[in-house]
Amino acid sequence: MKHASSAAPGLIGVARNVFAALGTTGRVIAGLAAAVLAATPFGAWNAVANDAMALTADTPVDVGPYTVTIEKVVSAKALGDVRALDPEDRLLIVVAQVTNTSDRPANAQQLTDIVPAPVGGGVVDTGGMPVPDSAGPGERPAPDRYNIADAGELDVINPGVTYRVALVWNQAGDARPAEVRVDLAGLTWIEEGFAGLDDEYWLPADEVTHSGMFDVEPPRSEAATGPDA
Amino acid sequence: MLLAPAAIGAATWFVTQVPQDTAVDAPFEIGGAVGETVHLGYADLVVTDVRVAEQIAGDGVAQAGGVFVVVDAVWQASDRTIAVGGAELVDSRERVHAATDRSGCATATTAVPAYRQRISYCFDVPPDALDGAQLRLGRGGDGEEGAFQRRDAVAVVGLGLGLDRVPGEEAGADAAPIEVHGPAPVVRTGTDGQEDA
Amino acid sequence: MSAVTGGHERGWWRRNGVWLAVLPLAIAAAAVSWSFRLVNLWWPTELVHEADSAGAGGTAHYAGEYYDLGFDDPSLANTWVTREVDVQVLAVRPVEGLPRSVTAEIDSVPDGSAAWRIDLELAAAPGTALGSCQVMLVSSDGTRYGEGGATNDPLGQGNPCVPEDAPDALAPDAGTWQTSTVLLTRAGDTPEEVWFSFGSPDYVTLAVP
Repeated sequence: MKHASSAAPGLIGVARNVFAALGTTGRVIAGLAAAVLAATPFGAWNAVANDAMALTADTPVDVGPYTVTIEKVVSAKALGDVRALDPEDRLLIVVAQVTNTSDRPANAQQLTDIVPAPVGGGVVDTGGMPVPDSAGPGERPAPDRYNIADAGELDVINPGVTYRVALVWNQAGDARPAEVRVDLAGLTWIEEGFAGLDDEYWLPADEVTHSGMFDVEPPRSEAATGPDA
Repeated sequence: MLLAPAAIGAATWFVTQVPQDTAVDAPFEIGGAVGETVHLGYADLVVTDVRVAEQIAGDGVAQAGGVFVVVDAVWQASDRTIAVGGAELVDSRERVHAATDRSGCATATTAVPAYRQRISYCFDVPPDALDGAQLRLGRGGDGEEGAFQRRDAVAVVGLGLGLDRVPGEEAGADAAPIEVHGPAPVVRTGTDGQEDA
Repeated sequence: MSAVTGGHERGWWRRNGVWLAVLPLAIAAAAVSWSFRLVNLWWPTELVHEADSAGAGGTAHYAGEYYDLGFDDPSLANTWVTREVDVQVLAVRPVEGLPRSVTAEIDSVPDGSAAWRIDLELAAAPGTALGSCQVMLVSSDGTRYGEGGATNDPLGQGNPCVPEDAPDALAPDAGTWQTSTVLLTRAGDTPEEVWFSFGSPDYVTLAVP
C-alpha cells in the first residue's frame, strides 16, 4: 500500500488505491471478477441449460419414489381394444418398467408427470392439436396408463412392487417418425407444505432430468391384438 | 412463585420431546385377529377371511405385480352412519401398502348401525410383505392420516400370513383367481364366514 | 406457591390482580379465535340444529337455508333459499317384506335387522325443492338409522319425501301429499323418534305415534 498516502476520498478513492496496489495478475483477476459481477443481471449465475443426463433403453433411473426403466417406444394403430380418439390417428406407446422403491404407497397417476409426451413423435392432444416440440414437460398432454399384465388401469403402486406399464398418447395419423426424444421429468419431495397444510408428498418439478433418443418400433403386427404389441 | 413458570416450562419441554406424528396426533390402536370382533367405539369390525392369489376376478381379471392379499371384512357402526376407508397393510419392515380398487375391489365403504356391511380390501404387495403383515383400518379415508381418522380408534389386525402363502411355493396360494364383489349388506349370517352375530 | 413471606408484603392475589383480571379475557379471545372450526367444520357437517319438534301425531315445521345451484329453478341460481316443509308422522310400524326396487342391494331383511315402514304427510309451497331429503329413525339410546337418505339406501328407494311417481324432487301442486319409506334398524331396537332433514345442520324431531 505504498501509494495509499495519495488517498482520494470516498469509496471510489479506496477502489482506485486498491487497484493501484495490485500487480498485473491481480488486475486481470479483478477485471474478470468485475466483468462477471457486471453480467449478473443477464443470467451469469444461472444453471447451465440442457444439463439433462443421457437416457437409454433398459437403464434404470431413480425418479421420486420410483425406479423407472424405459424399455421401448412403439407406434401402432391399436393396443388391444385401445384406439386413438380420432380413427385417422395412431397411438404412440412408451413401454416402461416401474418399481416403487420407497416405503409408502405411490399414486400411479404420477407416472404421467414423470414421463412427458415424447418429442418429435407427432403427439396430438385430446383436441387433436399437435403438441409443439418446445412445450415444457408440464404442458404436454398426459398419457393413458395401462398395466400390461392385465390391460387394466393402475391406481396405486405399493412399495417393492414392479409393473410393466404402457403409457399411451394419441399420434397424428400421418406421423411416421424413425425416432423420438423421450424425457424424464423429476419430482420434488415436499416435506412440509405451505403453513404445514399439505405435507410429505411428491410434487412434479416439470424439469427434464433425463433425455434420450429412442427408435420408434412398429408393432409386432400392424393389426395388433394383444396389449403387449 | 417459581413453580408456575417451572410447570409451564416442563410441560413445553415435554410436548416438544414427544414426536408429533407418532404420539400427539397418533390414533388409538386396538389389536385384533382374523375372526375376532374388534370394538372400535364408533363401530365393530370383523376380518372374516384373508386370501392370497396372483389374480383377482370381479369386474374383469386383475394380475398382481406382486401378490394380491384380499381381506374380507364386515363393519357395523355403533350409533350413526360413518364412512370407513383408510385401509392400510403394514408389513414387518414397516412399509405401508394401500388398497387398490382394481377389478371388483373397494377401498372404502359406508358403515351403518342397522346391518353388517361386507367389503373386500385388495392389496397388491411384494411377496416378502406377507410375513407378519398387519391390517390397519379405521373411519375416515385416504390412509391413516386422512380426514376424520387420526386421533380416533384404529383396528390393527394381524393377518397371520407367512411366506408359505406366496403363490408358487409349497403350500401355495389359491391357484384360481380370487372372486371379489363390491361392498354390500350381509343378509344371511354364516354365508360370509361370519361367526359373530 | 411460596409460603407466607412476611405480613408487610402484599398477597399473591393482590400482586397478580391485573393478570387475573386479564385471564378471562385471554381465554375468551382464544375461544373466539378457535370458534371458526365450530362454524366452518362442525356446524355444516353435523345434524346439530333442532329447528322444531312435535309430539306424537303432531306437525313439525322444518325451516332451513340451503344454497341453490339453480338446477330446478334457474332464477334461484347461486342464492340462499329458505326451505319450509310441514311434516306429520302418520304411522311407524314393523313390516316383513321390503319394497321392490331394481336398484336394491338386498331383497330380504338381513339377519339381526328389522324393517319399519314410516308413513308421512308433508305440506309445502308447490315447487319447493325436496332434494337430499332424509327420514331417520332414532332409538332411545340415540342411535340414528337411515342417515344419508337415498344415497345410502340398500333398499334402492328413491327420495323419501316425494310421492312414488313424481317426475322430479319438487313439492307437488296439491301442496299436501303423503309418502312412505322403509328403514332398517337393529332387531329388538324400538324407534322412539322420527328425524326429518335435508342435510346438516337443521332437522326436526317427531315422536313416534
